[in-house]
Amino acid sequence: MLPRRRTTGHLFLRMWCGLVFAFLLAPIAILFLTSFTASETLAFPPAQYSVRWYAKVLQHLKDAPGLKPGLTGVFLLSLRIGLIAAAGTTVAGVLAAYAMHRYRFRGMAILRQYFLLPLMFPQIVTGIALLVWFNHLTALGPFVRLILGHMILTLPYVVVTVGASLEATGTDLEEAAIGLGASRLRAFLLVTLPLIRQGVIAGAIFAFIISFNAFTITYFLYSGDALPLPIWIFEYMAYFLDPTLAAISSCLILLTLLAMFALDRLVGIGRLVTR
Amino acid sequence: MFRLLLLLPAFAISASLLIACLILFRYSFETWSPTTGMQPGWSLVNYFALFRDPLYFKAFQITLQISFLVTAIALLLGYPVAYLLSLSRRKHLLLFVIVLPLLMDVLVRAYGWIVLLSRSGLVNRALLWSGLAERPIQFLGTPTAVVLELLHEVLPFMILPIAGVLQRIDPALPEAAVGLGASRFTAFWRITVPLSLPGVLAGCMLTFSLATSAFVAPLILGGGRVFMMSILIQQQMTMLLNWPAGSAQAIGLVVLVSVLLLGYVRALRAQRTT
Repeated sequence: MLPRRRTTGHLFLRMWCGLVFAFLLAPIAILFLTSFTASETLAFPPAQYSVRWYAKVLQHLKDAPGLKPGLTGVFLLSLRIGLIAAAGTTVAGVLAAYAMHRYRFRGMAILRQYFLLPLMFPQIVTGIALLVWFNHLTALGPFVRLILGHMILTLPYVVVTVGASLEATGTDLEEAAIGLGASRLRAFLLVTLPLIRQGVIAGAIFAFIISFNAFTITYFLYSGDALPLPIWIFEYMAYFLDPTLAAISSCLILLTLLAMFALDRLVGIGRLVTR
Repeated sequence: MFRLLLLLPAFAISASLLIACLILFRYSFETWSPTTGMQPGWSLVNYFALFRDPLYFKAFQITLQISFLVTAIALLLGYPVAYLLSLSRRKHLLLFVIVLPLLMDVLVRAYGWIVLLSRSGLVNRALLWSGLAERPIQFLGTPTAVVLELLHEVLPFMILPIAGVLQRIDPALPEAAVGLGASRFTAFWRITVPLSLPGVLAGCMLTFSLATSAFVAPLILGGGRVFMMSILIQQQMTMLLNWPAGSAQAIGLVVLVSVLLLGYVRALRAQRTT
């Protein structure tokens, strides 16, 4: 586009964007600052600063008698669901993306849309549809329900990122390996898979983040035996309004930032614009 | 045969959503009353209620109003950011800020807005200090809070498609207009903006459909009092246990969102051919 020049229009553009960025960062920044307050309330700006609410988080890590499950158990459950769901969708997604890339067949465009469906499907409808269906499948335990729900939600992300990697890699090298006498499986495992490694890992990280943060679907599928982190936060929010949650949120935001750096290292977030 | 085997696991995962939706569809034809509970049958009464019941109509109306408002403001806020993103040399840092709300825990984001908008929060402090308000304003539980949270949620979906299109516009085109004597603003308004319209359309469709099916914002920032369609569905399903009516409302929401997304797909296709 036009070369940069210090015009009034440009200045206005930068100020406008500055305001939008302030808007995007405001709720995150406020949680960070409030988490260090010394007072019992969320009033801003804090009169004095302390780390007492982080100490409170440490107390919450243990199971409180009679009350709720402790944060450690809740966190580990979310971690377990996220890892299993991400592993499952990564395998399924890689196989499907590979099949769609390697073999051109009729109806493929429709199949692709079909795999991407959960991405834009209203999550609340996915949630209640699974709620109604699982009501007939009493054999499925709460843990399995959550995993299946999260796999539905995360599959599209893997199909998209792996599909893009395969598209960028092409089939020449794999063909060459097969031409030189490698079996199909060997060619895939030793040539194609290492080439698309980044896309696969990025898809898996995406799937994990989406599963770990999924609230809407989880809200309709959880039970007392399997209570993941977003639901724990939701229930805590309903009963307590002290800054403990700000401290927990700050920790979660730090984790999100770490995941983003990892994603950026692997695929570069610039890809999100250029596709 | 082999390729079918490869597709099978992913197919099974996606198929479970379809099966669940078919069962939901079946439920929408049953009848329900508080005394007898669910009665099996094939009745259209839940679908008629979608159009007749004033409560449902109100939910529909509020959902559309909020979605329109969110889409319009998101476009106004997002377009300049997308433009700056397509020009900027420090694209990376900007992208980080834009993508962060996408990858954040939705409840953490909602909680951040609660802290900002509470009676002793930063927004009320600023309003009191500047004299714009005489006493703290109750934001939580109002449509204003829902709109603000939703904006935060949908802005990346408005910015990224527009930036994607802006990046592909040949810089020679607005340059030529300036060379031929147009002012920079005219070149932007008459050349760049029309060429970016497919991206604008795609962003608006995405934003609108996300806003219509939003659940966390009306639940937490609206406290369930901003009666959007998702809240209606949630109350029917989990509190009243009127599954037939809730199912019909969910199907209605899907139809509404599908129509919007078909528009989105067409916008993408138009973008590819130009």
